[in-house]
Amino acid sequence: MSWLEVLISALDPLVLLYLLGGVAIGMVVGTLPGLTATMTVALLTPLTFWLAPEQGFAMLIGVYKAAIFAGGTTAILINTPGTPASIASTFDGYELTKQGKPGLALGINAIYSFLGNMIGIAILMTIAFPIAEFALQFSSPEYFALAIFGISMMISVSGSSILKGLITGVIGLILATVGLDPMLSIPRFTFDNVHFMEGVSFIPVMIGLFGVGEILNQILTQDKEEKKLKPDLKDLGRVLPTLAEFKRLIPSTIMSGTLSSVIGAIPGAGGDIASIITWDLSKKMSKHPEEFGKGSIEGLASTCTANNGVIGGAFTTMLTLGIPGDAVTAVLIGSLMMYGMRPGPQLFVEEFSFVTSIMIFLVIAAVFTLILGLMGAKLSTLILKIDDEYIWMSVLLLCVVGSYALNSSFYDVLIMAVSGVFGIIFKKMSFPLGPLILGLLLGGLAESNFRRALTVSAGDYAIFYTRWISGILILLTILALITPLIGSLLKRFKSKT
Amino acid sequence: MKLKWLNSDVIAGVLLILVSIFLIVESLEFPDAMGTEPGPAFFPIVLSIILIFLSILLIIKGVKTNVRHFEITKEIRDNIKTLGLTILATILFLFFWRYLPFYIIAFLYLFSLGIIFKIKITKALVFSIFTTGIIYYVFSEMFLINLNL
Repeated sequence: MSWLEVLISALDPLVLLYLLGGVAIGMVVGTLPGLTATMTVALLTPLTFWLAPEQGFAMLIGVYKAAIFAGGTTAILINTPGTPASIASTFDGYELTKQGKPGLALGINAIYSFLGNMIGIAILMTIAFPIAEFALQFSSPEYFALAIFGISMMISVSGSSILKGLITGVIGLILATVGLDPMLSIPRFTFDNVHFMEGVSFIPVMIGLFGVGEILNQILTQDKEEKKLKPDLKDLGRVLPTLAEFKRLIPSTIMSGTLSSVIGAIPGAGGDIASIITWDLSKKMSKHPEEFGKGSIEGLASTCTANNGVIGGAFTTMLTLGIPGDAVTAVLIGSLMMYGMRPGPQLFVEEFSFVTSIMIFLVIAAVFTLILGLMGAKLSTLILKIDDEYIWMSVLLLCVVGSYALNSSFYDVLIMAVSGVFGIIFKKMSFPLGPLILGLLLGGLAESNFRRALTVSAGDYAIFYTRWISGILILLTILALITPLIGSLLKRFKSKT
Repeated sequence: MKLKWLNSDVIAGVLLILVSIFLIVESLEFPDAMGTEPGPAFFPIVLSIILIFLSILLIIKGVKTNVRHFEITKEIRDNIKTLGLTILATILFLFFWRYLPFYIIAFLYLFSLGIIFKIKITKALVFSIFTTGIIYYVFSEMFLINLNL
């Protein structure tokens, strides 16, 4: 199937309708602080199971893209990032609002999110196919090394506690061992319960951790006084930047878009990291660094470009290697697996048209988001007025129904509920959830390939480090784990001396 | 006597060690490996040993830093009550789901949450009916999923 044929099939009105629906949902979700793209994609995944894969995935891509964009809206209007990716948009976006230019800030968010997305998608389209072709050479040792490398990368960016990231990563790997053993089909940790034979269901765990866990945490940490401070913006002012402003923003946009795509491709490094790094670099590149943090349109544009640029990068690693670039793509891997597809180089051979459709959906989602973003600037201020309580009620019921709907299984609901309780405990104790999901996702891949490799090598462990690709990946895994450790030791040493 | 070092990290570390030991004991029951591959017990045992090691580090860190993750401040005391009631309502919902039609139990669940969240009764009533109706329609009518257990 050629690109043109894929394009024509991707332009199916029903697929576009689901994509548009996803964008609309993503816009609402992203605008509401606390509702993340990850949570919504996890919640909608069982719902899309009943659709054709193209329709379902188009909807999820729409949600992902629009939620990341809309996260900037709250960052700009109320100084609260709607999603973690837009944390750096508060630096200059909210300052612009305080200066009476919320319209311009929202306009920059819409336009530069679109541009960042386009740069990311261009990079995805350019490098995904060669990477996938290269990755076709991989066999068991490389897949094992790749799986542990993916987990190690997410752990290494686990924020304040690498140790806690490691623990949740290992818990995820252990959870992945529940069910039938991948080589000999021997039941493990099933406790004679038939429901556990197929392993711990990924989707209910995801819904529990990111949905129920998040809502329970919001209930626990709600600030009733802060809630009363809802914005009342009657006049947004101009929305579009002038031509002179647009020209001024070109260098930082190109830098932010390109760099964030690379950062997005690194497993675990998402929009939050990319936008902070590019904001800092833009400041260094700028002729007006003194404006940064005080309402600089350059600063805002670079962060908006970056947090959307990462999407292309995250999809590159997800599609070509089967390793998620961020938490949302981790969930999207689960969604693809639900459709019976396993992301990785083989997907480019077996499902070429679907892979190219995904790239086309990303472009269309970006266009829809741009249009809705520019048209709906005023509407977004109204969405912000929805009380949290209504959202909590809807999400809690959706979590229950969503986890049940996939297999009509009450066991899945119980797994979701237990995961939800663990979700809030982990959150309170600062255990990152990303490595757990990644461990659960990649555990089977790591174990089966580890054991297969040892069967091939007649039990010789040298197979993992004498083959150059797996050797390099294992070396990178070790580096990813020890570099932050050395860094913190050095910091401690310096503070003592 | 109040043990100053007894914090959530230490408790989590101890619990994780106990779980890991249980997993190792369970794994030892798995059949032996065939041929040259390490067998079904290998991965769980290795992972459990790693988890024990990491848990020991967590305990040491917990004792050293003594960070309190669950400190109950005046601000969140009310929130804890709301959280507890939310969890209770959810447990009751899941328990009674098999005895009542979905649309009734879902409505009761949402309405009770509305009361717990201190939403005005009329608003909670309207919202509960509306949301239950939409969710029931989408899942039962559009996707033909039987939501009654």
